[in-house]
Order: sequence, then C-alpha cells, then structure tokens
Amino acid sequence: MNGKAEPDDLNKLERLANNIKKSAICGLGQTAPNPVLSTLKYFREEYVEHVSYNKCRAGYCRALCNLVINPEKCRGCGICKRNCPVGAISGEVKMPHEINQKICIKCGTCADKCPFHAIEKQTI
Amino acid sequence: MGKKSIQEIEEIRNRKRQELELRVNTKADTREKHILVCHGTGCTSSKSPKIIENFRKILEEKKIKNVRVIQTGCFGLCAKGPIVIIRPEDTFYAQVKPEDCEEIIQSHIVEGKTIERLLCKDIDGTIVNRLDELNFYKKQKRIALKNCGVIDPENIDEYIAFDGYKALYQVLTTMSQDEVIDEISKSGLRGRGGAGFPTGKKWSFAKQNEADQKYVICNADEGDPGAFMDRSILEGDPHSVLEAMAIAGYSIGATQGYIYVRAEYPIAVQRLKVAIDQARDYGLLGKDILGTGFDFDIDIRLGAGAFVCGEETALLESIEGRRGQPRVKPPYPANKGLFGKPTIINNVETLANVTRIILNGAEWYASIGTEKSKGTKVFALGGNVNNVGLVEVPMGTTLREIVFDIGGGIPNGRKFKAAQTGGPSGGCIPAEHLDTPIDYESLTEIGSMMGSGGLIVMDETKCMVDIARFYLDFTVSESCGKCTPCRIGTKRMLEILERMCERKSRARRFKQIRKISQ
Repeated sequence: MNGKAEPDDLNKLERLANNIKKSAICGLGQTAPNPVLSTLKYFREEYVEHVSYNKCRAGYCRALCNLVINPEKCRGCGICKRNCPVGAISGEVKMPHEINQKICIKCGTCADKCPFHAIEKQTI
Repeated sequence: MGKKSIQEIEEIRNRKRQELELRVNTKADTREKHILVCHGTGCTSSKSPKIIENFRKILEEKKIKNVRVIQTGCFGLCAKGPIVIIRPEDTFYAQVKPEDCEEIIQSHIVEGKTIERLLCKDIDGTIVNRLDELNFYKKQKRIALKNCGVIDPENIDEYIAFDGYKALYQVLTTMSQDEVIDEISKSGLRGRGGAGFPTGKKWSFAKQNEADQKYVICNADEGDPGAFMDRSILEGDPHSVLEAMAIAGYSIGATQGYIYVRAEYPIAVQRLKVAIDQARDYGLLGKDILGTGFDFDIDIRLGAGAFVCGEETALLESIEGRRGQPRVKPPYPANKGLFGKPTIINNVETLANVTRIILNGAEWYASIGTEKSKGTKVFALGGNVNNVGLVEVPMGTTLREIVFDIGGGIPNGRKFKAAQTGGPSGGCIPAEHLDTPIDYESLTEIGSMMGSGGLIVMDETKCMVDIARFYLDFTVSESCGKCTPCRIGTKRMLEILERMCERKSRARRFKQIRKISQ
C-alpha cells in the first residue's frame, strides 16, 4: 500500500499544471494551477515529504500524523475508547488512555468526541 | 425631492458639509454628536443593527437631542467589530455589545466620561482612544475607501457633502470625452480586478468603436475565497461607483450601465438599490443629467454566485441570460461585448478610484505608488493574522509591512509561513519574499499575482500541500466545464493532491497519472 513514488512524479503534477496554464480558454482557467505551481516552487520539500516519507511537517494532514493522547489532559473517562470503531484505544478508568498506532485508522472520531481536547496530532 | 439643478446640488453640499464637519474634524465647532456604528456585513453579523436600534431607543427614552446615530460602511478593523465611533471627539469603542449601549449613552454622552473598558487595545497592549492612533491605520492611505466609515451610505446628501457628484458635473461641463480618457490614462490607473489592464486604454478602445449603443458594466462579482473589498466599497460608498460609471459612460459614449453583483451580498445589493433610486430622484441618473443633455442609467443584475461569472466574457453571457461560460477572445468586449455592442467592464475598486482622479488630478494619483503600478490597493487581510480586516495601502508597500505593521503579526506567537494573494488564481509567497514590494509586476515575478486583493496569511501549522488542495478543490467545483484542460485537468490534479494528503496506494496512483498524461 505504501509504494514509494519517485520524485519524477512530482514533475508530472507540475507538467499537468503547466499544460492547463497554456491551454485553458479563460483567465481563471489559465491561472487555476497557480496555487499548486507556487507551492511546488517554494515548498517542494513538503511535497516530497508527503509523497516519499508519508510525513506532514505541519502536523495538519491527519492521515500522515499519529493521533496520540496527551496524558496530562486525559482524565480517563473512556469516551474515546467506547467510540473507537476499531478498538485501538486501551486504558483503565480514570487513568490516561493510549492509542495503539498499529490498529488506529486515523479516522479522528476520538478527537471529535474527547471532551478535554486531549487527543493531539503528532508528526511521524 | 425630485430633480435638482446644479445650484440646488451645490446648496445641499454646502449646507450638509457644515453639518458634517464633525465627522472629519475633531475640533469642529458644533454642539451635535454623531454615534457612528459600522453596518457592514462583518459587524452586522455580530449584531450591529441591534446596537443601532438600542442607541436610538435609549436616546428617545432619555429625550437626548443633538445626538444622532448613523449607520456607516466598513471602518476596516473587522477583527474588533462591532465598532462604534463617537464624533467629533473621535472616541473608538471596539467589540461593543448591544447591552453596552446604555452605559455609552449614560457615561460618554451625558457625563462626558470615556469608558475605559470598551476602548480598543492595540497589539502591544496600549489602550488607544482614537482610530488613527492604532498601528493598523498608520501606514494606510485611503483613496477608494475614503468615504467608508465616514458617511451614511443610504443618504445621498452625505455623499454630495463630501464632493459627491462634483466630478461628474466637472466632466460633463468642462471636459471632452478624450480629455477624460487622457486624464485616466495619465493617472496610470490599472484594473483592480486582478489582471491590471490599464483602465484608460480600455476606455479608449471602446470609445474608438462606432456603435448605436455602448455599455458600461461594473463587475461586482467578487468570487475569491477570502476577498471582501468590493463588497465593503459597495456597502460603504455605493454612490462613488455610480458616479464613476456615469463618467465612464460619458467618455465612451454609453447610455446604459449594469452592475453585476452577486446575490450573496444582500446588504450591498440593497444599498445599491437605494443609491440608484436616490440618484435617479435627484436627476443624477436618467435623462438629461444636471441639465447637460447627457443620458445615463444604471440597472442591477444579480449573479447567482458562480465564480466563473467574474470572468468578463462569462459575465456578459450571464447578463444576456445564458449560462455563464467564457467566450473566446478576440473579439474583446471593447469591440463586441454585451449584446454584441462595445462594452467596458470595470471592477468596483477601479471605479471607486475614478472620481478621486478627476477631482484631484492625474498627477496627484500618479505620484502615489510605484513606477508601473500607481495609486493604492485595497486588501482583505485574513487568516492567521491579528488584525483581520480591510486595508488600503499605496502600491509598493512590502508584504512585511502589511502583515506585521498593519496586520499586527501572527497570533499565538507562531511563525509566519506563507501569504496567499489573489485567491485561487494567485500563489503562496514564502517568508523569504516578505520584503517584495506589492505591485502587479513584482507579484507576477515571484509566481503569485495581485488578483482582486484577498490576502490570506498562514502560520507554520498550515500544510502547503493541503492549501494547494483546498484551492484546487474550489477550482474544480467552480470550473464551468467549457474547456477540457480546466474541466478535466484540474480534477486530475486534485485527485493527486488528495491522495498525497491521505496516504493511499501511491504506486497505483502514479501509474495512472503516467497513463493519463501520455
């Protein structure tokens, strides 16, 4: 599932963008790839990290981050445990819980349900 | 009411100007006080209409005379809204709640004591009394927004008091068509919608074409996510746009104008309707304007909020009653535009500059800004920045000045990562280009563009791949589908980006892309 893409594939994205820029009819179409082109130009390393290392350095893309429970904030209420669709969370009542990263599918249900905002994203 | 002659207009101007001196002069000799409350979309959503209502009710209950409550357009500092300003002393109260009205009237108006609690705090923590003491306003220069926050947009007399319709009369009586176009060309004014085409040139192309009917269109279909400059101008100073359209109509020989505005801007639409009715009533629109024999009328056309209708030829299609899709250029609208007639299409902000250029002269305007980009530009500053709001700065101001001096920097002690200008057509500018002067050429050079003026600041917690995905997602859903590259190409790009953010079978994806692009 995690086949590594070669850096050349990013060039493909760039080429597609440049083709749209040249061939769209109206000004809006011609400029539509600009957000991609400019971020590729200045933040290329972030793209490379996303493609090759499954990493989002800003900790924004949930699928590329680990969801972890902050033990200082966790009160051990068990809401996350009960709501987790894959049973990845374990822990005793009133004790900090833990997420098993091998089972976690990063759906984010625990983060939505946690009343103490104890679930945080952590870059891998 | 009814049609007015120029003498009557002058009379209104002189009378009203004296009455409104306190709005612009803190030392005005008057016993009146004006409570100005922002009634733009931003402050309206945080209950400013209720504040206005409460003020009026309390004043009536307490039988206080000589105090008027005025609804105005946007003051700019939307982050601190709802904003209440009391003139002539110019006290600036921020984040006022409807229940604070009683206290303001009692202690400020009756007892003359400033309420410390409601005064605005600057980013560095100092409490300021007056609007212009804020760092937010120090580097700004208001030309297009001159009247926003000063006049009541639903009262034509107040617009007339601040030199309203003076430029139109001057143009109609003392200048030839070519002289007007020359003046605009000399000022160096360029289209504020994004592309930056010289306005004077556009007008002269339309003038050269002989036709029995020509049109002037104001493009108020502001579609960029995060942009609200045009809306604020229409909400704060609608007459300046109407007057400029009449001037444009005179210079190219058009008798009909349309304002294409999106229906999502209900306050702007309503203000425009009021303004057009008042202008018609005074004889400033319609037949034989100010007795000069010049006919010009304006109608509103509502857009349903399609992004593509901000593109000029798609806009024309939409006004003609068809589906909004761009036409292939040439022919350009100046040759064959609305209903096949020569048409000029100008952005709201471009038009808002026109009357100021006529009144103050092209040299004055050309002295502001950089060599190739003259005048000022309004930006809608948003995102991860302390002072979210509307700013107008001279061209050539650096991004650093806008984000850190005017915008007050990034909240929560985070670091600046990038600024996005120009919405879905623009690009992200990284920290190393913070010192780039903002003008059309410099922005294009670094891979972004001026666009219509949305400026979104992003801090280090934002993922740039996700930002690109967000804008492309917008483009994909707004693509009209007429041409293949945009309809299919952007969709494919979005798919790639989505999978990058979601970590799904990479090897398969890239095989697919290879196949498609071959």
